[in-house]
Amino acid sequence: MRIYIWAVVSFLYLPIVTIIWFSFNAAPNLSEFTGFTLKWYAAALSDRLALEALRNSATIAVSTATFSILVGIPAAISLISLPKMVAKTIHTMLFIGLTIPGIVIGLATLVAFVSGFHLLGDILKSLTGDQSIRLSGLGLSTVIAAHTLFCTSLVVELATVRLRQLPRSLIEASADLGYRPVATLRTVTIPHLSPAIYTGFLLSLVLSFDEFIIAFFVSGPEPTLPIYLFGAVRRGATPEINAIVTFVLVISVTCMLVAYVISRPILAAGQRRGTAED
Amino acid sequence: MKLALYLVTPCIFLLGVTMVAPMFVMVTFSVGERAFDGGYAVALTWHQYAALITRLGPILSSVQLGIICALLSILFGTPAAYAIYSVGDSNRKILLILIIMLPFFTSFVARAYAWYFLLGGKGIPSLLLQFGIGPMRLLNSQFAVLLGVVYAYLPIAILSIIVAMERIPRSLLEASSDLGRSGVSTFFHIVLPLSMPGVISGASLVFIFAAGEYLIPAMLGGGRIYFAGNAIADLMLQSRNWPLGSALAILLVVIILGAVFGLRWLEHRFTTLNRREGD
Repeated sequence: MRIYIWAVVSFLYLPIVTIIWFSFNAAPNLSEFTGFTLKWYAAALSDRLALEALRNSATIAVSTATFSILVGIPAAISLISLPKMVAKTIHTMLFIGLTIPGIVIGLATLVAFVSGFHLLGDILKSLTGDQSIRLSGLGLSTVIAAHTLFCTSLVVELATVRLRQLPRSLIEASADLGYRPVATLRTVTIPHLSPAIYTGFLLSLVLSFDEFIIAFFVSGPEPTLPIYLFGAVRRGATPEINAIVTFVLVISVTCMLVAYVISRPILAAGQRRGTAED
Repeated sequence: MKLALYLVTPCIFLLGVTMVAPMFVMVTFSVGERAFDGGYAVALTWHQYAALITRLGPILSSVQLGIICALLSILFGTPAAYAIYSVGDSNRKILLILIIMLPFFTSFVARAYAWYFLLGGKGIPSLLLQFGIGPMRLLNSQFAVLLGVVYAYLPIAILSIIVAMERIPRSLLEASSDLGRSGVSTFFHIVLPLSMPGVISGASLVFIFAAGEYLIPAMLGGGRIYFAGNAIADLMLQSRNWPLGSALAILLVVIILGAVFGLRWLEHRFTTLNRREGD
């Protein structure tokens, strides 16, 4: 049994470790290791297109994570006190946003945004009489909008789990002591939610940074790092790609490990509840 | 109450702009006609959905490929889930789950590329050539796509099965071993039947992910092995047949949502059934 676990683990990690190992290999082949080198990293760092793609990805990831928290956390708090029908509808829609495959979200947003910009352009044309107006809004902002949808769904899920662990009596006590709802939010609810906020932020950061298919359709002229990598692989695998891929892997793994450490209170409380139910 | 309305407004706005409006546009396109220069012309017809039936071949072959991926994932995933489930120490167990899940949260492009590198000419084939085996071609084959998809989604299948197994009371396992059943026999007679909801939902998750897959077939299959995702992307981007592409996308969403909500219902039935039997 134990051997089987380690077989599965090695299957999962073999490709990852190989890439990291060969990003330091002087020879570009798997069959020979001719010595340690950092030259592929130097090559990646002097690749202007790769750096530009990295900047786009970082901008998108940070904005997406910020917006997802700003939209998702208030939404999760409101879902408790909204009428049950409304809350359930919103929750189901967010869940659907998480389930629809990226390719459909990507294409639907592409088609809708292109048509929307077209319509907007026509309206502007007829309003101003200026025929030269052309709106083509695809770029960082459209990727951020599309990413914020599924990241918000995730944040709401996380925050809802955490809110269920908040005893209602605490909120009632706060109200009894004369706190107004906004003050209760600030002093009781938000501090209780903080692990969910940090975890949600980091998860959104990673998922948005690594997301490929939606960005592929709606990024227009601004490629993200995954799109750049996809294109680079199609032009032919080079050792430079190994270096960039290693960098991307390290970023996601670091963020995920930090997220795991922060989310431990949520997990632990969930487990305690689980054992109490037994 | 008033406060809650303020708090939820941005979320409703987001859902409207990034989900309801795009899906509405897509449904509208799917009942429209293809314009002469590609794109969309206003119409109200079922042509596109009828046309899907004539293209059933590629759709069915992608369904078949998805089913194979799902079956392989649970075939390899169930023993792994059972092995982790039987780890006694709960800290060790959580650590193992973390180790299994970690790759799932790293870049898809990076992992697909890792297999592209390993299966490509400079990877495993060149390694085997040194031992006198080959030359062989692994990349751009159905095998490569299957491997890529199973590799990508195995963690989620394992997790879904573990979650179901965790609901099985330990006392049942102890009773089984007290009554003289071996570990293997306990697995087949007690653990497997009781964790069926998890196995089914794990398989469906992999199937759903595979159906929407674009990247792995594009990178490892050389554009010759198709999933619904690739078909949709090609229809929209290369043939610029937006109505037909929209119709296929809508069909995919309907199938997936049907499967997801159907499963939720089924799982609910299962758990209430189990609980009733337990009483």
